[in-house]
Amino acid sequence: MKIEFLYSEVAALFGENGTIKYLELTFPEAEFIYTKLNDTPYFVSSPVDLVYLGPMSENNQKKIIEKLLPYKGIIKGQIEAGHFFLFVGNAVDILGAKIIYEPGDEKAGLAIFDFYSQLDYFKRYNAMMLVDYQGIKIIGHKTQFGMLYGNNQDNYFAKVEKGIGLNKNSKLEGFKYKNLIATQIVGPLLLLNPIFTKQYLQELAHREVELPFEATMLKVYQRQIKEYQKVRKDGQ
Amino acid sequence: MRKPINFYIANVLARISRRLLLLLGRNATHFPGVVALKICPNILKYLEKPDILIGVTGTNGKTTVTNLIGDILKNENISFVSNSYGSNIVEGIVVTLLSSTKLNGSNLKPYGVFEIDERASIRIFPYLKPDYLVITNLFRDSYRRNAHYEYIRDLIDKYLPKETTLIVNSEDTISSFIGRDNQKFVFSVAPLPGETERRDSIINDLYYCPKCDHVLIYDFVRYHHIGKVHCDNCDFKNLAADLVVTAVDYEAQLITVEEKGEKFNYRLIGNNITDIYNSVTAITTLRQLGLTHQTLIAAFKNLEITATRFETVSYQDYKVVRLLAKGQNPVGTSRTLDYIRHNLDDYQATAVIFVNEDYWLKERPMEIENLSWLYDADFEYLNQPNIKQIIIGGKRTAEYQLRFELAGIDKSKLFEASNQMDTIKLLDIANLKTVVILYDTTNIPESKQLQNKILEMFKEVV
Repeated sequence: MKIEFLYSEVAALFGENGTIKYLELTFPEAEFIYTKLNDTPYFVSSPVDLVYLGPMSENNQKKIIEKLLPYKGIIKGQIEAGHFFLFVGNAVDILGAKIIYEPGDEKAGLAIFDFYSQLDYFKRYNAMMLVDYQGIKIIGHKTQFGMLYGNNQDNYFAKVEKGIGLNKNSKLEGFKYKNLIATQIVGPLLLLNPIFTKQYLQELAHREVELPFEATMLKVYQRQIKEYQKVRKDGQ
Repeated sequence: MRKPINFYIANVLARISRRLLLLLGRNATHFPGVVALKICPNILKYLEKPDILIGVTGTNGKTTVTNLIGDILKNENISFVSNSYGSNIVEGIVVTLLSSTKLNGSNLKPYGVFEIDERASIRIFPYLKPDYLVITNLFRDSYRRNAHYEYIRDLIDKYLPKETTLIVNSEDTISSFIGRDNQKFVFSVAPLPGETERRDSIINDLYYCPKCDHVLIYDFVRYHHIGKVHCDNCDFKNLAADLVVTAVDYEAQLITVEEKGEKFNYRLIGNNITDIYNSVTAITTLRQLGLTHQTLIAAFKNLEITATRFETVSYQDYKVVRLLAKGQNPVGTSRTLDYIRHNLDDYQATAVIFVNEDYWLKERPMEIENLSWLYDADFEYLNQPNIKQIIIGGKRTAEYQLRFELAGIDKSKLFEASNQMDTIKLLDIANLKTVVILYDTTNIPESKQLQNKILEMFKEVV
C-alpha cells in the first residue's frame, strides 16, 4: 500500500499530525510518501492508494492551488477511476470553482465540484460537529474563516446533526464522490471516529484492518457521542 | 482633547462598577471595561496614556515578561500602571487605564506596562500606540481564536504603529520580522555550551523561507522553529542581536549577557530555557528605558518567577513540582513536557499528574472542547523510563489516555481519576521520589492543595 501525504509540513494545522501518525501505525507495511511543497506530487506519475491533504494557511492555500492546478486533469481522472482522496479542513476549498479571500482577492480552484468559498477574516467560525455518514456518527470540530456556497445535495459527505454543512444554512457537510471524501471537519478525524475509521480503512485496504488503540478510541468516541448529543451550544 | 459626554458617563459608571465589584470581593479587571466600551466604544481614544508605554505581546511568556518588567520598575520606585494581574484584551486595557487617569481622563502615571493579547492588536493599536512593543515569540496557538501563526503575524504587522520601537527575539524568525520599517532592538540566547538541540518537536511553523519559499536551513534548533536559521537561496537569516545571553552557569545560578562587547552576569531566575528568554527580554526592554546593567543586576537578585506558574516544594530528596501547562497551547505544553524530560535525572522516579483540562469545563461548560491540540503537543517526551506513572484527572481522561497511547507510553503507566483531587489516591507514593503536577490558570488553588497533600504523603512514607 502507498499513502501520500501532500504538503504535511504546512498542511496539518489543527492536530492532523495525529491522523498522519495513526495511519503510519495502522499500516506499518505501507510506503508513505511525504510530498513537500516544492516537489511534484508522487500520485501524478505513479498511482497511490490514498492521497491525504489537511488544512493550511490561506497563503499556503494559494501556493498549493498553483502546485495542483497543472494536475487538475490527472486528479479528476483518478477520482473518476475510484482512487482514494481525503481532503480535510480548508483543503476542501481547493476543490471548488474559486475562493474569495477578500474583496478583490480571489483565486480559481480546481473546479472538481461546483461550489465556491467566501472567507471573512473578522468572523472565525468554530463549531462542534456531529454528523451522520452512512448510518455512522462522526464527531469533530470546524474551525474556519470560510463558508462554502454551492449544491452538494447529490454528493455530500454526511448529514449534519449538530453544527453546519457547507454554510450556516446548510445541513449537508462536505463532499463524497466515489472514493473521494472532502470534509471541513478538522483534527485527528480517524482517531476520534473508530467506527468510521475501521470501515474507511478496510475499504481502502480491501481487507480486515485491526485498529491500534481501538478500545481506548471507542471509549472516547462513546463518551463524546453522548456529550455531543447533550450539549446545547454547538457553534459560534 | 475635547471629550464627548458619553466618555464621562462611561468613565463614571465603569469606575462605580469597579468599586462595587471590588467591594463584593470580585475580580474587577474585565467587566468595568465592558461597561465603558458599551457606553463609549472609543473610550481608549480619550483616556490619556502613561508618558512611556510598553506593550508586551506574543504567544508564550508575555505575562512573565510583563511581571518581570513591573517588578523591576517597582524595585526602582518608578511609578507605573500595569494590567499584569488582569485582562489583556481591550476591556482589561480600559480598566487599567481608568486606574491611571483622573475622572477627566488625564494621565497620572509616567510608565505603563501592558500585556496585550496578540489577537487584540486590531482593537487596541488604533488608540494605544506603545513606545515599545515586546514580541516574545509567535507560535501555533488556540485554533479557534488564533487560527494559525500567519494570521496573527499579519494582524500585528498591519495594525502596528510605525513609530513603535520593537523588542524582538532573534531566534524567532517569525515574530522578529514583523514591522519591517520599525526600529528594533533584538535579543538572543546563543547556542549555549552543552545545550542539546531539540529537532524532535512535532511542529515547526517555519519550514520555508518567508522571502523566497526555499527550504530553510536550520543550523541550530532550540525547539520548534526557534533557532539559528538561514536560506541558501537568498539573504534571509536571523536578525543580529543587540543583547545576547552567551553563557549560563547552572551551578553558580548566573547568566552572562553581552552588550556591545561588554559582559554582565545576572542571576538565573529559573532553570528552564524559557526563563532565560524571559529574563533577557525584560533586560533588553529596560535597557531601552535607560536603566543600567548595574541597576538591573541588583534588581534581578530580588526577582522570582511567580509561584502561580512554577513552584517546587521538597522534603529531604522528595520533590513536588507544580508547572503551569495551559490547555489549547501545544507549544507551551511541549515546552513544559520538555522541561520535565530534561530534569528527570534530578527527579528520579517520577509521577506526572495532568489536571490541566479543567479550564474548558470551568470557562465554557456548555461547549465541547476541541482537544485536537493534544496531537500537536509533544507528549512523546514523557515516554521515559524514569516516569513511572502518568495520572490524568478530570472529565476527559480517555482523550488524554488515547494521546499517551499514540505517544507509545505503556498502558500500565496510565491511570485515570474522575476528578482532579482524586488523582493523589492513585499515586504509588512509596516508589516515587518526585511528583510533577501540570495545571491550568483556572485551577491554581487546587494544584497548590494537591502539592501540599502530596508533600504530606511523602513525609508519612519517610
